Amino acid sequence: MSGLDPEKIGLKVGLEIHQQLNTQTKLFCSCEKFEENDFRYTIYRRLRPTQSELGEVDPAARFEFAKGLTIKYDVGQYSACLVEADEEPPHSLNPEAIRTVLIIALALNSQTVDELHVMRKIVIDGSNTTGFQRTLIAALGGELKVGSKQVGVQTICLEEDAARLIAEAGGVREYSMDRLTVPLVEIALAPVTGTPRDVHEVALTLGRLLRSTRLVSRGLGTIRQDINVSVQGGAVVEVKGVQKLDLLEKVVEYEAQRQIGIIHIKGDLEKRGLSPNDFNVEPIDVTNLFKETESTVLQRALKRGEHIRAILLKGTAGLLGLEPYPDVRLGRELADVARFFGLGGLMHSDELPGYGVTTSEIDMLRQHLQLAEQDGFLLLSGEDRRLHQACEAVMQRMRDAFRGVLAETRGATPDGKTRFIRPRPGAARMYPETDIPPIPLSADLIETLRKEVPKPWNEQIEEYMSKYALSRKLALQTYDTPYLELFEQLTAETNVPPSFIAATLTETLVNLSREGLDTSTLTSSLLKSLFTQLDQGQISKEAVPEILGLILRREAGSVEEAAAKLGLTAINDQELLAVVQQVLVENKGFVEEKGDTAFSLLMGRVMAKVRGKADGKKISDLLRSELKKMLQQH
Amino acid sequence: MVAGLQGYRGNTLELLKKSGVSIGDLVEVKTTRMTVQGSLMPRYEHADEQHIVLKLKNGYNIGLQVNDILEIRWIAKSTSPAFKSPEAPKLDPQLPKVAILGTGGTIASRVDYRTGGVHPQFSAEELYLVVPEIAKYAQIHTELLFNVYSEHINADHWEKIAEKTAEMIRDSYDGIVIAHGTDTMGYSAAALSFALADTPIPIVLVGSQRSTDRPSSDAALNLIGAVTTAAKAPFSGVYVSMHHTIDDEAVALHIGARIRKNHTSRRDAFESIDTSPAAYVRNGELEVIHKDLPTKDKPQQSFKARYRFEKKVALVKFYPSFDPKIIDYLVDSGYRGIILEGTGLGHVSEQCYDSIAWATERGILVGMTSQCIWGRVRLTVYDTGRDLLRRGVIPLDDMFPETALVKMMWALGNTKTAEEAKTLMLQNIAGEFIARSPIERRPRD
Ligand SMILES: [Zn+2]
Repeated sequence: MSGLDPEKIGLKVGLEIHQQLNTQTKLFCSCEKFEENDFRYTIYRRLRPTQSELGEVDPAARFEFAKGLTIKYDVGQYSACLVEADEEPPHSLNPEAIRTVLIIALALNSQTVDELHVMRKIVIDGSNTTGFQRTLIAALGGELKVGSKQVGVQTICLEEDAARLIAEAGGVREYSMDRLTVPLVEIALAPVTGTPRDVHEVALTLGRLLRSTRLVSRGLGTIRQDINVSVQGGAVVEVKGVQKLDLLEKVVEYEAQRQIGIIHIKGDLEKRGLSPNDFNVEPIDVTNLFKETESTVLQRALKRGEHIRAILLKGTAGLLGLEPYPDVRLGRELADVARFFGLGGLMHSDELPGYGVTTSEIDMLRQHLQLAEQDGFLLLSGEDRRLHQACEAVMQRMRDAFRGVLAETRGATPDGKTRFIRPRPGAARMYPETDIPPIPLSADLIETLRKEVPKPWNEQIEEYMSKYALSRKLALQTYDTPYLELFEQLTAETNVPPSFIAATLTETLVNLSREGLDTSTLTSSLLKSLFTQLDQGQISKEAVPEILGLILRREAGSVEEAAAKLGLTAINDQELLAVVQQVLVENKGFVEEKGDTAFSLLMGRVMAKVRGKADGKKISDLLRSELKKMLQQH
Repeated sequence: MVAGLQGYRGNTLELLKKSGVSIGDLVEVKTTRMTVQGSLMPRYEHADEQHIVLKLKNGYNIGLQVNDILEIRWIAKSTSPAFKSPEAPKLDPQLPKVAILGTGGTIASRVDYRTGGVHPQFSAEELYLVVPEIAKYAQIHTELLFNVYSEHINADHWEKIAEKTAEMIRDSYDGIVIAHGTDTMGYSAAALSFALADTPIPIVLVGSQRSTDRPSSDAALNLIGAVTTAAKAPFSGVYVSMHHTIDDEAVALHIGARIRKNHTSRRDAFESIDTSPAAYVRNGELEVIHKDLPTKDKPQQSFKARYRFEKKVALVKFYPSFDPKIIDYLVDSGYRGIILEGTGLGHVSEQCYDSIAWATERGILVGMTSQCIWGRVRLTVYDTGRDLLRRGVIPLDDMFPETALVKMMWALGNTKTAEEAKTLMLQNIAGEFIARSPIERRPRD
């Protein structure tokens, strides 16, 4: 990993997997669980920090409130009711979800608790209408077997999923209520050492173990991994929301580099003889200095009536833009904090001149601030009150640079980096959900559920390989798709070879999604009709990718329509025979000349005429026998 | 309250005592299956005797079966979290003087994160802590009259509130806010509407459907609506300040004698019956809807409340197979008034005729309302109605049952004879009668 030896830097990664459960209904009500985009209602809300949080200093909660954000919830007709809207107390905890999470716990050899206590975890960003997430611990301890290694399990929780974020603009944050209170199992694994690749393997294995129960949802967005990353001499950083497993390695790698880089920068600060006290300065209003600026960023800010402030950073010239690893800079850390406080960002002296800020403006500014050559500075712009808060927070971050890596919550970006979200919340934000009494778990119940623990996933894979004559690779790929159940159904209900079904549901769909098509929109009923028509000879195997492509591009609404559009409706045996005979007649001279070896050229010509309307194997069989007949006649 | 072993009983209590641990202590519990460390939590009173509750370091609670416990080892004493009380806000003498009276309920409470207990809070400081915005609108003075859930509130409490409020009116407050649990807030609003009829200042009852220990509580918006109204409304009278819709957007000010809780849990559970709210508060701005609200120009120092309530009044709902002996029982028990909740336009079965006649002949007031809630009673349309009129039943027009009950308690409490009370019953005292029936099913503005 770019020259960093995981062992040397003491890299430790703890995985926390959130997996949606495949229950009929949600966790606390009878609503259906599905993504509903036909919104019928909107509800506007505000959340406030609760009293005891105001007593403490929780800058994140305070700021969320100070931002004056309005939260807008979009509500469909079937996916949410008064419970999700926080207009009715929760109903009883979904027993199906309890069973599922206990079976998962037993599969991981975890110790179930004797009584479940639902807790409220304060979250006031609007992702929960109540202002808290309901969650409970179902089991403690256990282990996951990954190859020859064992990874410890810390806790297994049952919790409600959050609302689906749709947009944020103009002081309104918009969520869809459909995903709110969908049951999730949260599994926290003990930190492991090793390479980022090993972490990927652990996540993959845990995902397969979960799928082996057949009680969890499949497909994109149904599983989410958070990771806790630390290196020696640092602190534990929580990175949230890694949606795709492929990204996991990249995120771990970047975060490890970032932490090492931050420790490096801390060392440089100290080497320069600086201390946190050097960064207790008043920001200086320099709005007037930039009245005539040509920087579009600053112009725009001035037009909005915003102010520009400069912060003197003594002795930091060259350190703000220092990049020990790609995209790891102190300047970026400071800019993240400014962004968190709602500012567009910040400029630092190491990246100026730039952004349209000229050398003469910088000279003027340096003079105004009475900067020495080795001094750096920051420029921030924003609306007054917000700017004030942001400047304080940015300076705090600067002073915190002397502490090295900070324990904080970061978010994974789509390109595999991480970005500051908020300080790490403590255990203090957790208190009991008094609306739901504790639920005792009897020893009998646990023993009954123990019998429902599925066979290990690797044994299941072996079974697939032998039962359906699949290669290991294809069996594994099929196991990891959202379509495992559909695969079993199709192999039982049609005579289409299982390997073809499996390859279509894996490789073909992967190829289509590489073309930029969203294969998650394919419904089971559509795929079922595809294979049924293939089974009945109405379409050919060769036509399958094209048909799917057409449907995914929304150029056809059904398999029939796609086949008709492509002119791919299969021809019957008689028609095929006619085509084969015609090709033989047309190429009679060639056949007489080449004999048997004419086959491949003839095959190509027949295929060109049939264009996917008939099965390739069928064509070659027919052609071979007709060719034989012709040669015998001579 | 965290001392001792609150909530634990039987074997479990014995085991905890024997182990020398108390609530809040950090302990290590060894069971047949696991060893865990955590703080000992109190047990809910209604929960079983079979489990002890631990709060783990990560903040989660779990329950452990007492029969499987091998050992409980004491590790450390509990550390009480220091709750930082806010500084007392500075009062701005330029602002109107508003009193907030507490009666219980959830308008101001604080959660103890360790135990999950919700503590009611009611000093001005603590209110400012929940809703700092109110300091912008008024100089707030707070007083806790009593602290009971609203289902326990009775006519004695009404008298206490009315007496105190009258005193504060004379004390030249500009407006008074009364924090109240929502279950019976409609009854109390009606009671105060009559007891404080002709109040020269606005009196606003306020409650919340979600307690303030939740970030999503509706209390703050409702309280801001109430304080805004108390401080700067151009009208007087008794009102209820609650969410207009389920959005955190507008607060509706309902006329106290026309308000009813019509949903068990929604934020907008309170609805004005057969009329719209009198006013709304949006973003701290008051928008007055009713044109004929009482003005504020009456003298305050000479204000007098009529705050006695007769408890011997019953609200009786008629239903198919209703046993008239229920009415006889009330008569025999010395009741002075009965509000009937009849069907439709105000009917009961002819089997009740004799019992009703027996009651009215004894000078007991019998008033008729409708269980339809919306709409008026009209006893002249059908024979049954005319038969009831002949037996002395007083038709109470569009007064709905709960307000009619409270009004009869008040009318009998503040007069000497049934005849005088009957006259009061038919007078429009606090906007409880509305002459025009609006076209809209649920008028909103
Ligand atoms: Zn629901």
